[in-house]
Amino acid sequence: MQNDPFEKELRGRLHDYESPADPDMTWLNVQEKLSPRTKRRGAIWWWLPGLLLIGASAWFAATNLSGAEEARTPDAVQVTGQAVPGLAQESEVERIGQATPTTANGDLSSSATDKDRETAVNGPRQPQAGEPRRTRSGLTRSSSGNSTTRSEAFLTPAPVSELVNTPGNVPAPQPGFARQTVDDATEVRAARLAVRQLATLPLVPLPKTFFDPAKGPRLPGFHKKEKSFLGHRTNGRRRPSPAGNNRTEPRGNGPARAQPGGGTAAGSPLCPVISWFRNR
Amino acid sequence: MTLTTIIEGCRRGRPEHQRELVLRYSGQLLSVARRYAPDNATAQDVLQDSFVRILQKIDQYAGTGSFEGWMRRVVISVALKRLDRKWVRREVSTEEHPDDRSVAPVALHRLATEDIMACVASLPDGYRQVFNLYAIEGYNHREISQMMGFSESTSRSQYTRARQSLQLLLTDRKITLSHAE
Repeated sequence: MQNDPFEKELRGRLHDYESPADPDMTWLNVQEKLSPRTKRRGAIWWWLPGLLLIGASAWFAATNLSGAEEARTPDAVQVTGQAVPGLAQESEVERIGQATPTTANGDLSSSATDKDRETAVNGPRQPQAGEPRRTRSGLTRSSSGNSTTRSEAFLTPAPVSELVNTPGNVPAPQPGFARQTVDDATEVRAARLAVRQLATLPLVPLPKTFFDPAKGPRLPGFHKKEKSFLGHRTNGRRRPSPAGNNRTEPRGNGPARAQPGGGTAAGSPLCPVISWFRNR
Repeated sequence: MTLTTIIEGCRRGRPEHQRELVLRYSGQLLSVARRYAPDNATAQDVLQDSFVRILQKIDQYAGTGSFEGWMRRVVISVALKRLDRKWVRREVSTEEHPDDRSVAPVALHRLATEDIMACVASLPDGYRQVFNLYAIEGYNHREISQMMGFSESTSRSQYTRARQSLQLLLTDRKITLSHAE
């Protein structure tokens, strides 16, 4: 039948017929369908290592920063207040005659340079009346001059040897100076302890009735119910019938007999339980 | 740019060769898609999916047969996959059979190709696909039954009814055209 003239003519007309098309639009659509596949493949291969790299760098940064902060704390106390204008030009470290190995080796040059730059821009900072002055070694001195009285605002400092770990470089306190109490190690320990205590707290806040300070903790279902005017605990529940059988009657369905023991139904198997709850 | 160069460039994934392939064969493959798809929008979708599949599977072309024939087979496969074959089979069983009386031969030369395409497109899906596969593409009924998923006798009866329906449509179209003239 394929050689029938009808099919032959149809095949000749339709087989090589070209419909009017828009090849450019077709190519754009085909290109869109081809390109996301390659992009998705690239994302699969490059996204995961990138995420791992970011996570690793964040972990290293977190661990190193925390460790560096603890290690840098003593030196930071030493450096704080360096080159405060209004004081004598001579270095307090030199006057004390002792310094940490770091400061003695000239590592403070960068900090001093920054401070000098700040001073050049903002001008020298004049000390206010009554404001304690801060020196390079962390010592404070009253602004009234070389007063020998200790400032009451600052307590006796912790030994620097605990912070610097170099007992030979501990400057001795001089008269007229009181070391500023910046015990960072203690603060860090206290903060860590507080965080641990916070972590032990329950995540879900319990209802107020559970922590009534006057009555103590209570469990739901053991609350005392209001008594009805007949002296029975109905509370919307069915109570045992006076006849002692299993038939129950709804609340408000006639007065119930009062029992001498406080129970509502002496012959009921629930009687001891009800009495126990009532006495309780 | 020769066809061999285009095929080699497409195998290497070069966009300029892929674009050249699309520009060169869009019209021819669109006519194939239009004969199987129910409307023009579906035919455009079939054509785009077919080109994507051709460019992705061009390594499977052995190079021995006709490249155009291979692309035609890809287009037909994509078009048949888009159609719900269960719906086709249900339509086959519930379609009203036209009367088996013979239809007078139609003078096709008096009709434009677009009119013939419109008449083919107006056939029911099952009829249209069997008619295209058998009369235009040259598949036999055994191959059609394997492609469409029904028996060989069903393919034969489908083709007979499709042919009669198309002749009726073409006659009506010719009468309409002659009245319009």
